[in-house]
Amino acid sequence: AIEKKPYEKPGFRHEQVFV
Amino acid sequence: MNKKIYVARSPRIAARMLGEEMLVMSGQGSTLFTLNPTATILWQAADGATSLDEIVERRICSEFEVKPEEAMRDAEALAEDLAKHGILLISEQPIAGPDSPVQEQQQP
Repeated sequence: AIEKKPYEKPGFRHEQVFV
Repeated sequence: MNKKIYVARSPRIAARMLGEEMLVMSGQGSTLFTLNPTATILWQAADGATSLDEIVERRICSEFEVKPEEAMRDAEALAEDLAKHGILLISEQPIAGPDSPVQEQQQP
């Protein structure tokens, strides 16, 4: 049987960079 | 939600894969975004031509243990968040335009 991966809610983090 | 929505990456960003995460650099506000693996899958599939529900069905529900309604709800929330930050475009119509302006490079 095709094993499905555990689901992780889609998300992101962000940070300011001052280049 | 019955309305189809289409998502496309903004042409005003640069993105680079790092492991299973996507780093997205936006010139607007000099912000660096790091998408987790699930968000990265959605991001990579956001070609402007495939509707979000198709993306979720083909790329998320087929690979992960999740109910379609939950996956769709999460994908919509992510798309709205990314659109607020100006790095993803959302439309009720397919989004025309070449996919090429997005500069993506695979980390060797």
